[in-house]
Amino acid sequence: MEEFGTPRGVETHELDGTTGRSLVLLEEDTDTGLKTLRAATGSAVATATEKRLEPKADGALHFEELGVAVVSQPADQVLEASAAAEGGAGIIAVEPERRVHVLEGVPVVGARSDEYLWGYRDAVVNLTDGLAPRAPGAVAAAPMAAALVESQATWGLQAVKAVHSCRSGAGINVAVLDTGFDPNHPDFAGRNVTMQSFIPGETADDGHGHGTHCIGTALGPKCPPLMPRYGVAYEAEIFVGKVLSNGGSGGDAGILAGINWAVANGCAVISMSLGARVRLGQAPSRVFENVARRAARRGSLIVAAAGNDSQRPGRVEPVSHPANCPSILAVAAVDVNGAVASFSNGGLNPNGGKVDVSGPGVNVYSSWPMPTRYRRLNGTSMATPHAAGVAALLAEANPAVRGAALGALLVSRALPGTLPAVDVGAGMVQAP
Amino acid sequence: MSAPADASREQVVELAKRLEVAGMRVEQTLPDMGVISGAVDGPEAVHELRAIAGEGASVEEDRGYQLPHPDDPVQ
Repeated sequence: MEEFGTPRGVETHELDGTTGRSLVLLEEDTDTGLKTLRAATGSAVATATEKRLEPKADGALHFEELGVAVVSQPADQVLEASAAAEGGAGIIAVEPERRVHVLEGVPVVGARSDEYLWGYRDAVVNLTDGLAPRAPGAVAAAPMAAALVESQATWGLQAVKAVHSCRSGAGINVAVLDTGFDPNHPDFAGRNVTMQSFIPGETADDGHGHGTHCIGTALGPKCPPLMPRYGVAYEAEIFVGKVLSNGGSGGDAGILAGINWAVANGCAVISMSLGARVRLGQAPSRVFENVARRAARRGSLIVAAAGNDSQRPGRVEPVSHPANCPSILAVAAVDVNGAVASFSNGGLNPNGGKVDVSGPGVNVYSSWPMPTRYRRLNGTSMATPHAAGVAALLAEANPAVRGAALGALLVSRALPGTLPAVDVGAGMVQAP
Repeated sequence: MSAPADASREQVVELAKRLEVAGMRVEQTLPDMGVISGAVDGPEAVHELRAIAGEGASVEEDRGYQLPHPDDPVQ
């Protein structure tokens, strides 16, 4: 406990928000990455326990459950040394460990109230939940509180750090499986859009609006004719799979056909702002889990809405189908203050029913079919395309990282607030 | 239904044929995803499908999805 939360000395990396250490994402189900890491760092790799959450000064610490190691050397050194040692075998990605701000006024063991800590709390969110005492009535951290001004970009884009990302999603195919899209929306003029309907008797044109809103968030332009910017991956290729009718209804078979189509089209990311309610204790669909694994093996990551069935604080409902599948990332909704949205479902069920990450899902401004053009909406449906857009940026930045590894990267980079993982998983998705 | 996790494309297509012979009205076969969708009459027929598909396969009823009305502020 003593080591936990001890503020680190102020280093030069402090300025860029990193700690000088690195996070190493290891391949699953193999020791190859650990061997490479041992050879690269020239030291033993300790295993993390509840009492041991910091690597030694010259060592590395392995979080077995997460497939992540924290190394006390900078990312570029680790990357170079592991490439030299074993050709980088078993290592998926190396990233600088980021410093995470903790809300002022939230007491943290062993830390000054204005200090920052938990550079790797993203990697240990499961271990730390429950260890950090919270002030009574304290709500979420307020990393976005100063970001209320939406003249240039929506609060959501600011919160996921898309605004200053050097990535655009260029070269990445992204599918949004929803109610279709308005191909005549002026903000998307000149974009490559591939549209396919899986609803008998309906074209892929969006007669509802939900699909156009979600596509706007994930894939809208960098400089729309009317500000603010609202889209994350502005240069990604747009794949519109209509699996929900103009009346907003659909079924498993059409959604599975849409996933199949997206995978066949090489979509690295499949965004599904849809769900069906499940009961407490209900097991996830084996069919969708099997499909998600097959999709992941072929390089497609599926993200889906956690669902809007809750009425917090009184009632929290479990994560919906199919987001409750272990191999599908479930996205919860938070508001501009970082608080979980009242309607957002929680990770109450075992076997994949947890929330994986959160995204902006309250008062979300995005495109709507003409002539309305724009609307503000709330929902885990709005949070999900934020996560999908960020996943596309990560896919662009990491060409070798696809499928389950891309999901792991998205989770490992998420920014935890002070909310429990049962509500927001690893926290707010963050653009590279 | 989904075929066993390790079923090949050919095995999925072959399974769809067997299910059709057994009376399933196959509407969609997705060999890459290992999925066969269709209709049968009654719960007895579902038991039969399970028996034909064998261990490792999963048979589930098609779920419905419904978005709120577009005017609803929570989507």
